[in-house]
Amino acid sequence: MADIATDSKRRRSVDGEEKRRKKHKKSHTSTGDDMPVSLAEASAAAGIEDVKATINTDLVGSPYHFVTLEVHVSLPPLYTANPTLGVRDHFDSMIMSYVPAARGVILAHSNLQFLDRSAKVMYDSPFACVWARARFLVWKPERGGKLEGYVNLQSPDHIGLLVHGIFNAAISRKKIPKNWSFNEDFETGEGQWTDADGNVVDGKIAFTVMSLNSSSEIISVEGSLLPEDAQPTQKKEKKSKH
Amino acid sequence: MVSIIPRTESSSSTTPNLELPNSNGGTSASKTAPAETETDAKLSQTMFLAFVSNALDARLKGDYSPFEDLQRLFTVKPTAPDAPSSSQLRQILGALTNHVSRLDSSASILVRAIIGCHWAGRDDLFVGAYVRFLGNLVSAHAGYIPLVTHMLVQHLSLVPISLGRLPNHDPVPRSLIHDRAHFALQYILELVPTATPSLMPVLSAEFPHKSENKLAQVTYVTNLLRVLQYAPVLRGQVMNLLIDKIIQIDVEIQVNLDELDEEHEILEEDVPNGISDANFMATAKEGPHAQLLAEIAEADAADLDEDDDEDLEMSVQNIKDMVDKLDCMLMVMFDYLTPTFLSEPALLTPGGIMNSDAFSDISFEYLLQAFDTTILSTFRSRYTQFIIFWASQTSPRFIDAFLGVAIERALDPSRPQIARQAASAYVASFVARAKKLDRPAVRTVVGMLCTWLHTYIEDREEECVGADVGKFGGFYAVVQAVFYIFCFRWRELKGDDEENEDVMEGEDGETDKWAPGLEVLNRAILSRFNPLKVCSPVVVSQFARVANHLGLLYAYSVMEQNRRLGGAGNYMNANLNKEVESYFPFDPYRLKRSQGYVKDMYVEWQNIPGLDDEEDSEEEDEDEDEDEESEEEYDEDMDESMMD
Repeated sequence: MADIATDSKRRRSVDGEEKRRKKHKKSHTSTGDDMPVSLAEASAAAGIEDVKATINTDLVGSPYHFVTLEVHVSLPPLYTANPTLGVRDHFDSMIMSYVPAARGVILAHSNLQFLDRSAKVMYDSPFACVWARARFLVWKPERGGKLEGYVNLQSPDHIGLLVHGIFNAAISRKKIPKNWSFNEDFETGEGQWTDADGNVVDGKIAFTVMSLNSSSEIISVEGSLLPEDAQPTQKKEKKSKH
Repeated sequence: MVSIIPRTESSSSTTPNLELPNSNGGTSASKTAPAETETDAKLSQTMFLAFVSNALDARLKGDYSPFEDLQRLFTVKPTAPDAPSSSQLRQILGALTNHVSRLDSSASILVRAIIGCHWAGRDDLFVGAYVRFLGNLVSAHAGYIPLVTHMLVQHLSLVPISLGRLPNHDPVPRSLIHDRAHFALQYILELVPTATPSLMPVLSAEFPHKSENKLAQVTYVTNLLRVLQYAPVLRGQVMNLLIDKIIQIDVEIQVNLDELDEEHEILEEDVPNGISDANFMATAKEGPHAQLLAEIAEADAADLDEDDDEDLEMSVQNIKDMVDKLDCMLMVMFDYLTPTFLSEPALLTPGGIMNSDAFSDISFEYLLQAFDTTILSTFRSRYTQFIIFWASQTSPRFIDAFLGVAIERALDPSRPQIARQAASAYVASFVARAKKLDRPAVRTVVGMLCTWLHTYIEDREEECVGADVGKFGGFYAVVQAVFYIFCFRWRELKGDDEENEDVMEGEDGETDKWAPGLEVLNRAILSRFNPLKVCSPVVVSQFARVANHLGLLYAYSVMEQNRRLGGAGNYMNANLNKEVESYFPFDPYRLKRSQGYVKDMYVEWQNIPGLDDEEDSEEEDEDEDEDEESEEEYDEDMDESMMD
């Protein structure tokens, strides 16, 4: 129906689906019960395929992607008259949360489609279960990619930044070049880093993404300023911790 | 970037030397800060850095004891003899800040110890260092945010005084502890904006239980509203939470009053005839609790059983405490909402308040949502709804929005009968009591309701075989609403749209002209639906009096017929024991502290000229009068006991 060819698709292996089934929580900040096993295409044995469709951006390796996910939604009886609203509300609740299936943070959704003609009420559960597909705008900075952030805290041990004013990033001392130095004001305990050229670190700086963490629903990025990390020698698929 | 400036230079006075183990296996005494010279200070700082670094390194190699020593420094009680001084702890925190990136989840025991230590009662220097440490911690390891926010929110409730009374420290009042907690929380939220949504469940979980005392409730509510200053995105959810909690106490009071009444019925035989007949008559028709409380004030204690009396007194005291609690919480809410609603200039935007960005509009939208989800669905909430009553009357567009929601809920056929009856009650009570609702507005609402009634009768009279609340409850609720509104606002409904009501004031005669639509009432009364049979008898009788006196319609013949045929909506007839709920959400407001807000916007019952002043209102009390009188008696007892 939709132009599937241009959208990126993610297919999970069968074990992934088993793991998902164990989590039943439909809470506001759950990591989603999305089981993107495609019904239309039956090849369940496929590995993880990733076809990126980046939106127009100047930075190479942009963190924004469109990801099409097939999600299994349990609709409360409240939405019986209006299942579309129910699925939309469910997707709304996934916004700004890290979703492992998409390996990123969901920012928006669109192009909602139902994959079943009807939602099933199973056994004695009051919920109507249905598969739905939508296109999600996902923020997933890839390892080796570049991000820019505004510095909001510095210590002898790390530099803290805010990316887009929302997402936190931290660069630990191990990932700061050795020729940078930290000047501390003894009285207040505050200080600032100075880079190799003697410029004080402040405002916007660019760094390399090492990993994206989502622990306790707080999203944070580990970054690096080391020049060797900036060269993507091998593209490893780093699993994100959650 | 937020800089932390210590407020005063008061550091702790004489402190014992703490013997800190170092990597050489021996012990060395640490110097106490503040050191006199900078080299001394730098020396001690280096030492602490080394100590901390050593502890972290040793743990990686498998030697846990220096790490545990470090941890113990934070877990030991401040009153213990070997507790470290604030300055020592401060310097250790400084050292830890330098190694914050090593404090990942593997070091969580240490981090938990630090988060759980006594910090709010120490001096400013320490607090500064502590908050800075927290900031660095969450900036480097966002996973600790739930722990940190939980601890900070706990400091926003009524903390024990002992928290601010640490040995060798100046006593720290609760207000300063709260200030420090807010300061830290604000700092954290600035550093990690994504922590704000996850703050809400914590705020909700730490809300004091409704049984906790007045001070605990008011403290937390005030602090909660203060959080909104730096986390405005939580406004809607916090409003919901507050209304939810307030309504719980509100309903609890009503439940307790009912229970008290039940108990008292058992004791009633023992109660002497010290109650005058007049008293009894006056309060007869109103809720039994009014009578009960009047008796408590008068009855001789000696005639009652000792134990029962004590229980009774305790229960009464309990209720009075809860009423006071409710009063205080509502006061805080009103105070908080006043600047929003009363000082902002009215902004007229197309599309009404839904699309407006004005702060008051957004706030009212939140209140309206809270009303819709919580207040409307709560059975017999007594005072909470006055928040909306007050807020909506600050602007005509708010009144429109509120009435729009209420009327829609009342007329919606897909909703259950109970919900529709409640919504109708709100419409009726609001239109009757809202002073700021002007003549055109009253007539519009009544016109709308009457049109709906007319259509309903046209469509559905055929299927009606007799009065049936179960089937036509929504209809009866609306009829009752119009009855009720008429009793209060007949002046606005009289005459033409343009007519000046002052002209009508002196007359007690009849008039031919009424607002268009009211003629449907006659039809409704005479129809098969027979609303006079099943509407609340108090409303029916008052309406019949007023309507007859003013010449709107004559209801007594139908009422007589109903009585003859068995059961004019009373409880005798088993088949027709259902009648429309007589619930009037905006009955007179009797909470002492906060009633100032409501008074100017409230329409009190006014006697019909030529009707009520002729009769002795003691004996023929109708519902509206009774409410006031019995409420006054109820209130007088409150007065006597609440002398603060």
